[in-house]
Amino acid sequence: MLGSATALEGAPGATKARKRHRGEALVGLTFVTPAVIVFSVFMFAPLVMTLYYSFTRYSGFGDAQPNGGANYAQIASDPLFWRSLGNTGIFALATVPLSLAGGLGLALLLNRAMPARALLRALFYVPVVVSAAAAGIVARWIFNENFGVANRILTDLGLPAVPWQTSGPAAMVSIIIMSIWSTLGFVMVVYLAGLQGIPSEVYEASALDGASRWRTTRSITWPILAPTTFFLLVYLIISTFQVFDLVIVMTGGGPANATTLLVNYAYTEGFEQQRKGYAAALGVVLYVIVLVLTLVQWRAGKRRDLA
Amino acid sequence: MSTLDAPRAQEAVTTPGGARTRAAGGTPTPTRSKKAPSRQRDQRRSGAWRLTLGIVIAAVLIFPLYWMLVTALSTPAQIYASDAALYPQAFRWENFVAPLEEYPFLRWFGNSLVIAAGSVVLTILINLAAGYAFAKLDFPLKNVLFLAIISTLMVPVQVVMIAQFQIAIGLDIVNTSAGVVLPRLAEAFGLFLSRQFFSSLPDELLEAARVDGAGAWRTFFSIALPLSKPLIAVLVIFTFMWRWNEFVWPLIVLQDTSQYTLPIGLLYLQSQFGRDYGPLMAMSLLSVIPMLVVFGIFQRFFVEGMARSGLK
Amino acid sequence: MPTPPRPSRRSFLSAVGVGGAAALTGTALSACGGSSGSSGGSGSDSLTMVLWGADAEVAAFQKIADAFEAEDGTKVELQVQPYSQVLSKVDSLLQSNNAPDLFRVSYTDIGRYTGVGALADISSALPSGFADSFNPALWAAVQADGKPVGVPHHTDCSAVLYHQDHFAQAGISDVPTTLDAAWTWDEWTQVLEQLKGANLPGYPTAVNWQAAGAFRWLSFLSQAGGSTYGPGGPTGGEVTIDSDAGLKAMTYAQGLYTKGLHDPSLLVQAANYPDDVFPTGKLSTIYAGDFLLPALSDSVKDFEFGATFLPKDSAAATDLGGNAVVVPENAPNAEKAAEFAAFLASKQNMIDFCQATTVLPTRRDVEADELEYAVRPDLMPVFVAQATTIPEPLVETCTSATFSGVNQALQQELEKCFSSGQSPQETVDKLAADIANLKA
Repeated sequence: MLGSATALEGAPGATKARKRHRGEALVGLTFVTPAVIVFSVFMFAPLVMTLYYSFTRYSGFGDAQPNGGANYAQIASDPLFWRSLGNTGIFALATVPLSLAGGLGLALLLNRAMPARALLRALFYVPVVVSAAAAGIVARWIFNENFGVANRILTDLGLPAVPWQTSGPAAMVSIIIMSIWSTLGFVMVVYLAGLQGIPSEVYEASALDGASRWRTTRSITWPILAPTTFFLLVYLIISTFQVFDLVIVMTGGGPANATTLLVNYAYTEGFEQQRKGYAAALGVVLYVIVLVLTLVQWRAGKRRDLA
Repeated sequence: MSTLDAPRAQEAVTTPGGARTRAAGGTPTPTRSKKAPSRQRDQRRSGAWRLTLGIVIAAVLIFPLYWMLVTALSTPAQIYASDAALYPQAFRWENFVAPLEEYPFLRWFGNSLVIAAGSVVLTILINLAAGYAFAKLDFPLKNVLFLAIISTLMVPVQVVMIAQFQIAIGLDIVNTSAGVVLPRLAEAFGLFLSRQFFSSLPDELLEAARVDGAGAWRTFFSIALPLSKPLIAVLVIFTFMWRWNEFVWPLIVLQDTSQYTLPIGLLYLQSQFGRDYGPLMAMSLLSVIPMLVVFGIFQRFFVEGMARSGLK
Repeated sequence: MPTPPRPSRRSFLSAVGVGGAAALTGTALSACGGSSGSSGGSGSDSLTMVLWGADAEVAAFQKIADAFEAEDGTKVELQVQPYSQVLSKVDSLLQSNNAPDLFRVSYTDIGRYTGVGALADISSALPSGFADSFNPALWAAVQADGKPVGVPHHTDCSAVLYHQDHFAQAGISDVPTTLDAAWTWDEWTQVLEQLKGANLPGYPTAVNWQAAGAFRWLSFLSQAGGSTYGPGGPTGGEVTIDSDAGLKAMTYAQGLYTKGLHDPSLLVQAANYPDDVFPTGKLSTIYAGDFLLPALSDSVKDFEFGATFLPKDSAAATDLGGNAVVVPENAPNAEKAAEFAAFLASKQNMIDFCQATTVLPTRRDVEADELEYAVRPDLMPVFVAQATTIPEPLVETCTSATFSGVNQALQQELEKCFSSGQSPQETVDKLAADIANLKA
């Protein structure tokens, strides 16, 4: 989606009468004013303020005390920061591709006529509308190490019980599972729409040529879906970097910070530990990371557009 | 993006992908004619196989909600029994009734509704107007403003939450529904979708209205707006769902329990009930049901609206 | 809660120039935002107090609030928050000028507020000689710059609760009943091993050092003869947490996990608590504060439980529990709030509160062992005697302005030590470094 920032031009016809032009400018400015005010007050100003706070020591009480780059110096040597950054990376690297693959699988499953297709599509989508708070609460119970149904089912199947709450990797897996659970349906639906945009003649031609289903998927469907995949990639990365509620409700960041994500760490520092300056610096770091990702994606998107 | 990318997608079919397939399938397979008669049977068999797979997956995906229901109906003893059945063994309505009497759950429900509905209305007004202007009107600073706004598309709220809280204090909207709604209006996603949508409307359509003497205002209201129902549907769905389920910002800005929204209320109940999972699950279920009902009724719009936003 | 007029806009807002625009949007759009209703009144005839508490505690507070209304005509509205969120909520209220008139705060968190001058001097509302009625160490805990900012409302401490059937099945009959007879660390390890060998469900023990309870490890430190700071205390003393005693206490604590004596799922960060698990019969013993007795006697249904003293090493020691009630600097009605604080800590109200909620008094004119506790009065003598072992330096450490940071460092390092095998030596070294940094 960012790839299409190229669509910025679209300059109006040059033949317009000057008077109409002025009128149009007035209407245009009027139309964007609410958005500009909202973004100025609640996005641009906060970004500037965040940058300022990041160079201060600020408890929330009294005034912020400028302290140079002390916060950034501390971040560089803060093991908890690196841990939460690593956790966020692992979380995103696991969640995004698995959601994409799983959602595409579901879409391919439902893409052809079959009984109960509409019902299945609805059922697959249900987790998307469940709030992460509610999902996290039930997941915490399902993954309870001693009494949870997940371990009961595992042991009934003759598998070993998993220490979901005391082993860091296992706890991270439980959060990744729930995160994928809540996005699969969305990915599926977007892919379904993409698939339905493919003219059936394309498949027929391919079938006539005797291409196997896997081959058709790989060499026809997947390239056609590239714009859809690109959109989903952007969307999933945005939402992955915001995952906060699942962690708070399911693990509280433990055990031993194994599930503390960057945004959780920033929240804890800013609103529980009274270190707002430090939290602002963490916010700036997070912003830079997201910005780099955005640019990378934008370039990738541009290359795709040119191809 | 939907329409912008559509032609590009088509090209992809005919050029790289298509060419490759044709090359690959260049040598016709001799079995082709033999296969044709049995294709129908193959399809039926594959249909049954896919249905089975679909049902299994659906069962797995629905299980957490099912388990929520089972636990919500159980007594504490049943919950912690190691050999408890996987289906409800009792119907313990106290789990639902007692917390409803003790906690302002309905109030939270009302707050969530007001916040979600207020956000939807304001988001649509702001984004339709701005999206249209950025797509179809010419005015000073247009590109600068658009770029500035769109550059925040991927900024998580956690980046600016410290400063936003200070601004909310300055505006005296802490601990109010307005305090939840207003700061979250600065979300570029809806504006981006709106601009893409209006960009896809043919200029000729709008020009025709202008030739008839309609001003920019009237063109918007009489031509563009009536055409934007699909866009509005998408914005309603996205905004409602996101605001209904929103967590971190309400957690920061709301203070009195009476002002809480449902997700924050659930976190509150989680710390109140501790290991008493019966009532906790009952309340979680109640918090989920309204969205499930809305989803059930508007299922088609949800699925298609989402799809449309994600571009074909 | 209606906001009092704001004294001054944050200087930075106007510096950036968003103040005006912000105010404009606020008024233009807030009308659409929906109900901005409020629940609390804070006029001259009512007070709001933020607190957390178990059912028995909230009921006891409510009773005192009702009595105050009957006597004075001022209504006190109690706003109950979950313990896990109360600190961030109070911070948020104070910072957004929505301050309550009073709030409840543990001794270990008071430093967060006194250090930044967020609490009000209430000395003018206190009767003369008021201070003399209190335990001096706890009275000192509620001072900021030498002025009282609230009242020490009660105290409590940890001891050991045990599952009587489990003890019987494991053949443990000789349970200490006096402080002098308390088990030593070695004896305690033997008891736990014996429980472990008896094939009982669950685990032999769990310590209450979860979340903000991490500081309870400091009682292990005191038992080993160590302290957080050397002579001079939190302000002037060297950090001595990495002494031999510190290493010994850390090794012992980690050993509880590595020997399989401690429930591995009850770590420091995990938001599970031993007193939640104890009623299910899957823990034979827990370290628990006396304030848990009312809730536990409700939730424990299938077995009997007793109490004994914390194990000792070179000394007996327990932690400083308990809470104060303080008045914030920007309380809408600080004068009246101070009166209510004094009312809460009056002799009769303290007696009533302690009896109802099984906690210990802070007044010198109330004898803890003469109170008629509403729940499990048979167990309270253990806690009353154990409370005499709260070490004086520990009180000083726990109520210092930087203690919040000490507690956070403990949460981080203990978790690593107990769950991911960080060595005790490395743990105490890191703790010492972190704590020394706080002073800098």
